[in-house]
Amino acid sequence: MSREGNRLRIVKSVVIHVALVLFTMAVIYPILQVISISLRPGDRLYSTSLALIPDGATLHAYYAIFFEKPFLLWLRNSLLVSITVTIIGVALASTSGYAFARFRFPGHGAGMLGFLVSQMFPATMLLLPLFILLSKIGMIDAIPGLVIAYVATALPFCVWTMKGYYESIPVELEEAAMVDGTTRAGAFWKITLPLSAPALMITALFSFMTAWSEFMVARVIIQSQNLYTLPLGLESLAGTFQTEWANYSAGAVVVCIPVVALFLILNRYLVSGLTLGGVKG
Amino acid sequence: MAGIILRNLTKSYGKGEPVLEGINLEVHDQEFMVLVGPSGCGKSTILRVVSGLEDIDDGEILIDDRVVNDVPPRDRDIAMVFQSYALYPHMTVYENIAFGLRVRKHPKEKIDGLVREAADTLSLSSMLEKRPGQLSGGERQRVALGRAIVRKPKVFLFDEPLSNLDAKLRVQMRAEISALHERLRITTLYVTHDQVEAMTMGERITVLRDGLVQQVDKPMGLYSNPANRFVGEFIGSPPMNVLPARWTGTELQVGESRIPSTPETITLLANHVGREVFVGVRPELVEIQSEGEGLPARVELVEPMGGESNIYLTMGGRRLIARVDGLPSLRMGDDVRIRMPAGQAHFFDHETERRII
Repeated sequence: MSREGNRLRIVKSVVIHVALVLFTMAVIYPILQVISISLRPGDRLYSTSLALIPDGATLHAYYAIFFEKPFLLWLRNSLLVSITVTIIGVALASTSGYAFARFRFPGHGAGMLGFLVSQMFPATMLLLPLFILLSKIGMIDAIPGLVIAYVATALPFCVWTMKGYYESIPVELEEAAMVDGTTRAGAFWKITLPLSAPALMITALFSFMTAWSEFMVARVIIQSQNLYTLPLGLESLAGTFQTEWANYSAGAVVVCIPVVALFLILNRYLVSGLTLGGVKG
Repeated sequence: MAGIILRNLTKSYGKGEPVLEGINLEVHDQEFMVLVGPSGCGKSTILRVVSGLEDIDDGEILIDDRVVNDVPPRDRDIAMVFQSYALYPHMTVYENIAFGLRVRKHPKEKIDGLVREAADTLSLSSMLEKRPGQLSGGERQRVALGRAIVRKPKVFLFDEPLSNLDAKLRVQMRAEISALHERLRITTLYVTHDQVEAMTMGERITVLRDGLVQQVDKPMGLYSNPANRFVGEFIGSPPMNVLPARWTGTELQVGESRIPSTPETITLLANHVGREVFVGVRPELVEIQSEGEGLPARVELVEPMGGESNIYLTMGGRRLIARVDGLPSLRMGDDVRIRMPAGQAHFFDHETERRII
């Protein structure tokens, strides 16, 4: 390669890396700032210092939210809602995605299109009909109502994801299993589902996150304080006259932890390619 | 052990043309039957309906004298080897082979014994803990075979199992499958589009075209007595030369050239005097001379194959192939004379393309 070409390559690499560093900082700095604020002592909440570890750093805010506020109750509610939404979401998406991937039936195209169209509307647009529907079945201000709302909003994406993944799994694997002695359901359970682990993980993660960090729908459906989920609880920490920013930030940090942990645990499943080698090519 | 009988099998997809039309076929107990034909002829569909993976529109399928039309694949006591191997990628070789036995809830010790026996038969013993992704094409194919033989089913179904292997491995696996059949004597239905595979492996061969059975016979029966022009051209490599000709009553007129007749030809074509026929001559029967008597032709290409050579010729605008021993001293553009012995030629009706007998 010529010297000119080499120089161009180096310049290109430097520009790309500078841009990447800037974007990374833009993403990470607010998070670090939240962590920093959560460590500030009560008398320095409005400090303009940019130091990440503040003078007199303390974990008092964490103590406060766990033992002086009903944070554990909100956490329990959030976990209950999110785990239920995840289980129902994965169960429904994995089975209906399979039906859409492997069978042709009346309404197949319309169904998939319907799922897609529902994703084009912002959640706020669906709030009113959701509220009316849930109030008609008496599920306003109830955890099951919130679960239904979240499953309904998460399901279209999950079904599309599962359908797409199933279609990448050769149908011969199921046929081989059926000749080997399973029913179709058995082939699905023993062959297709284990091979779909990456898609199942994405579906689970998406369902969990849909429920875990959602605020708007919860705000409309849940009214009783004892049913608050974490986003609602966090918001309640912001008072009309005064906000305890350290508590607020500590809460925000704790809310992030399960999602980050989930990402770290599921990371290896998110890499597809499990089906390599099973068939020709 | 069991035979397979197909009676008036009809199958179409959606509202389209039928893929299979009135298929009647009998595969004898312990027989190795090959289904051969070009792409889209319905051979794989036959295999799939026998396996139960596809339903039929009409007709009957019998395995071991039992009608299995409505019997699900798992209860037909068959094993199938797929073109794509269809090994379960998340399972080890051991688990792949054991799968069918485990599903059928055989005792653990029995499964272990049977899996190890099958692995031993197929030289897979050292690979039992590997996953399909870690195996070569030939090894994967052997695992697929292992999965089929371990259950000792009544019927083996093979769907072009060698088409993804390289030429050398294909020849090797061909011999292995034939040897396996000799040993196990399990009724086998084997689908291929490769007529060499069909000729070398099949005890009998069914030639299919457009969803219709063209001929069922032993390999040499198909080669020596093709039922129609299609079978004549399909079986044999290089393919049979088929030329349109006119039977004058004493000789065959091919374009401007004439092929002298024999007493047998005169008798055979007695009802075709003055009519068009197709004359088929196998490439190995075409004799090439540099001069003298014979039909004038020009060499287009010489294809050395090692022990023999294929000579591509044109005669009066028509292409011919001759197969000769060794490497002849012919070059592209050479003018030669060819002789085609009418006594060993095949004759097909011009309209029906059926063999004239």
